[in-house]
Amino acid sequence: MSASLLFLAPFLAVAGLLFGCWSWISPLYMESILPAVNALFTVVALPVQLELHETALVFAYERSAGSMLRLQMHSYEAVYFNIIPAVALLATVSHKRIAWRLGWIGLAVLLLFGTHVASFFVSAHIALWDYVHSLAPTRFRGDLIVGLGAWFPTEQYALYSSALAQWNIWGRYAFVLGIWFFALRQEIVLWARDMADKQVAFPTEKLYHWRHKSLKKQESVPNNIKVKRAV
Amino acid sequence: MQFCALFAVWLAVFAGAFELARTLLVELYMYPISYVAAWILNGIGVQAALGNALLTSGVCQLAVSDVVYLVTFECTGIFALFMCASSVLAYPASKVSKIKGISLVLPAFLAYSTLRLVVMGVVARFIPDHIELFHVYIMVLVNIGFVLLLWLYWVREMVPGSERA
Repeated sequence: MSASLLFLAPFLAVAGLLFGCWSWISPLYMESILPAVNALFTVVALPVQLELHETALVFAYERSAGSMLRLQMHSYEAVYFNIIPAVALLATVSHKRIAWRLGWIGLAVLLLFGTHVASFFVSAHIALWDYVHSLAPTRFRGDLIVGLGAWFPTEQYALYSSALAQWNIWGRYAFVLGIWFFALRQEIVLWARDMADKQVAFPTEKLYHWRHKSLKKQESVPNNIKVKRAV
Repeated sequence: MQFCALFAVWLAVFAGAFELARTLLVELYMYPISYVAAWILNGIGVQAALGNALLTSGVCQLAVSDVVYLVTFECTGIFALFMCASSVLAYPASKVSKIKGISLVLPAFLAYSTLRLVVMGVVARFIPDHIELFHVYIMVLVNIGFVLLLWLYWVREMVPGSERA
């Protein structure tokens, strides 16, 4: 258990450190997401823009006749909070060079950025329809349904709602784990308890060539294996 | 690579199974965990009451001080359990090792999820202003840490190296 705890301690330490800087990281990251989401709305010709008013994130929907409908999104920081565990997991991988860690952190942030843009894009659809569904049947509601229906097909609402719900509940964190597993896919096969002991009885070098050529190339065969081989 | 693909497949399997067995899981997982959490909270001097009026909607009401938690599946950590179980089942180990892994993961998560609710109850009692901080942020990090802690323990301590391809 101690070896596993040795993983947990640095992970929680780095995650805690990043979380301590969250009030600084979050606005910066949000500033970088806004143009990407808005560009996506523009590309697909939807009359919605994402606006950040200090700490309030707003979906601004341009209704016909130039009037705007603004809906505030609460707890929006949770959408991209998975950046922290992703960075913390990759930063605290042991026996890896800084360049490897930075490379994977960069790739992970890029992948997550894509998912965050998609999340906000889908959230706009859902927020607007949720708002319409919450209204009492009035003429305003009727007009809104007609206007929205032209841009946001109602049949997408159910699909987007369930997909985003699943993603928010566990998909976004499973994705982080998936990135970590993928980054360490070669090492993971070496983590079994008595692998090192088994190697002593075999011609280690050949075994590694046979099983893990890429590991030999990257010189990522654990040090303890090399020592035992030398003995 | 195969491990990563299988991890995604198992996640999908659990997601599908969850949707099919949602009602059953309310009875077998959510309510028992919430019940034990309420019992522990009362035991440590934090007044807590559990309501089951919304069970059919997949929600328990856990009332602590002035706060009423609507305990959902998300709060019970069942999705973190699925992630951990998927990691175990996707790993290229023998069936015996996987059974051992699931036998480790399941009770560990029952205990962890109960403790998680207890912590949330204590937060509601003593620092109610920080409920969101704990629920949305801190517990999420702890969840991931716990998933990997259990999985790493299983891989390193319970899976014999000879099983590895």
